[in-house]
Amino acid sequence: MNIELTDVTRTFGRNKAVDGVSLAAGPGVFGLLGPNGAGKTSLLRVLATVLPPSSGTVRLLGRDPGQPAARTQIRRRLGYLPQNLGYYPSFTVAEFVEYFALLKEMPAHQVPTAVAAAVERVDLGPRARARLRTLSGGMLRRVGIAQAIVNGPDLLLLDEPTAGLDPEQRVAFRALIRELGQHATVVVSTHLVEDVGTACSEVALMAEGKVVFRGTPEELTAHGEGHEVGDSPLERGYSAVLAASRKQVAA
Amino acid sequence: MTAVALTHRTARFRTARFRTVRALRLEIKHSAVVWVLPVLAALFYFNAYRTAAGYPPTWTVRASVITGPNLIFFSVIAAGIAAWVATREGRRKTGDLLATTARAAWARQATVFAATAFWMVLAYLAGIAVIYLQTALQATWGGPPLWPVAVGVVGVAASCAVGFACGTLLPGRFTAPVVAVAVFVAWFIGVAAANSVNNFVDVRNAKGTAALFVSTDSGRPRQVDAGVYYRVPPDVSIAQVMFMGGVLLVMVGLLALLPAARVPGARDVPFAGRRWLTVVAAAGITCGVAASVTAFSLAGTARFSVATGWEIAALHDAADDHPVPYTFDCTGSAFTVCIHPAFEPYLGAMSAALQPAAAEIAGLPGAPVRADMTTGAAPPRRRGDDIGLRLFNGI
Repeated sequence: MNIELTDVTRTFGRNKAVDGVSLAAGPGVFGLLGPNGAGKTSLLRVLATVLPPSSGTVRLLGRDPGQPAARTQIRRRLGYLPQNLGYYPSFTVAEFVEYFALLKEMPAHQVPTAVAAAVERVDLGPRARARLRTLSGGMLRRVGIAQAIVNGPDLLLLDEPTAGLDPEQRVAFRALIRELGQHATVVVSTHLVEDVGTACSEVALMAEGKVVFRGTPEELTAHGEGHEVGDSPLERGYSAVLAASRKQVAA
Repeated sequence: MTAVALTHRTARFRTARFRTVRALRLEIKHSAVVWVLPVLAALFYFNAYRTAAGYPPTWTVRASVITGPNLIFFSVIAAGIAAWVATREGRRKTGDLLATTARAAWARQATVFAATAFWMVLAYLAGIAVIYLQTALQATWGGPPLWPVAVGVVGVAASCAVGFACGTLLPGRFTAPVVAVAVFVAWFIGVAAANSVNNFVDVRNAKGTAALFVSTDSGRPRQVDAGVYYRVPPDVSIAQVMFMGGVLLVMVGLLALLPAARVPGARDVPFAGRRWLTVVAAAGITCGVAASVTAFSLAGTARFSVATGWEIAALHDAADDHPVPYTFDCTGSAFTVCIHPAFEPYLGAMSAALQPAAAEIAGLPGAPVRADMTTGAAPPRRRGDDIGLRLFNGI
């Protein structure tokens, strides 16, 4: 298992952003769904070793990220795309990706090839020498994906990866993460249900910091039978599970 | 250690060095300092180059410019720009992304700091090269003094480190201007104190710590023949390098420890878990504090010598007290005018000025037949048929 979480909690003051989450995931594309403020980004940051858990145990790629040496090894095999991608406007696409390849401590001789491959995979080859300040929001998102995959990660964490991408790019991106998911664990946090339906083999739905559903997209769809909120079967399943969760909390 | 293990270790070191060099190349290419180079060039031209051009072409006097106001403005800009660069991760919101990379935060920050310091020191050295080249084309005696260069380089690097540490410790939009103003005020107070000391009638009783803020006859040369008749002792320069080098060490040591506290949202992660780094950083800080405190104490013992400037007994080399040997450049037959070879360009004018006066008294009993130039530090003297002439700033 590449991800093993046991009763993980993360609090900010009195607010419990992640509340007793236990998860295990191996290779494949794992969708993390939930409304705004459900705790998806906080959980992803815990998985990205940016945020330590307040309680519970985390094991990533078979190692404990609490140990400095193990954390460094995890980070060498980690790819992360944050919700708000920060970037340096004067860097070119290739330089930005190369910068992260170097920071991820890739073997020196692999860096040029890996950078070129990552840039091509997100279809930015012709813009490799363009400065980031000249790119559109969608292109910047693709640059973010390129830096996340440049080291061929075993654990890839993508926070709202398709935000800002046009429909054609989204289709291409879903194909890319399906391909990556054959060997790596890809966690996609999103509130775009169609991304989950087409790309993910497994899905977890979070609400109020808890995982309220865990299963396949088909199982989530099945929950929506008879439910009226939502345009697609998967959206109806999503709404039905959330509504049930809220009722439970209220009760 | 086996040969195989050693080979692997060497290979790892090489690949790490390659990554560092590549990352440094990227940082140098995209450094914010590049944008302020025109400002630095303009400040250098108006503040240092034109001032130096107005001084006699003697090495020590011209070199006094590079550790005078020039160093102050470079330090102010270096501190401000370094603080600005240090806040980059916060301004560009790359903290989360960078925190997930394997490279340690201190190593990443060190690369950014190195690129900033590289550009600032390079710009400063380019200014020195211009002044020294100009002097080399005009000077007739002596060679370029290197201690002012060392003082300036360490001063600029230390200012960068102060700014970078402030920017890392207190990231905010006002950090850079506040740091720049603070460094300017610190210099202003120090230089004002030093100048007020220098202006005392009996400077020998002045407190020596002020000497830390001025290089040997820096900024405003007290005598145009400084470094000509006597070597300028490097005592104060050594203390200055120690003091600013100490500041640099302390700041770099702090930078090695600070990222642990500055990783966004990760204050409680045992990020500085690498004990060797903590030990090295603590040792650096300790050495830096020791160097700065020692330099400050040594400067407190500085005494002013009319002949050679500030001297620090513990650092002073008695050889510097001996006059520098030279051979006069002379002109004229009936009345010979001799001048130090460093001032050879002025020989013609000096002779032309003195010959009419000498002609008036020529042939009188005891009338001088020769005029020699003497150091401005000694009173005019008369030896037999010669007279000694002092050269004043108004040359």
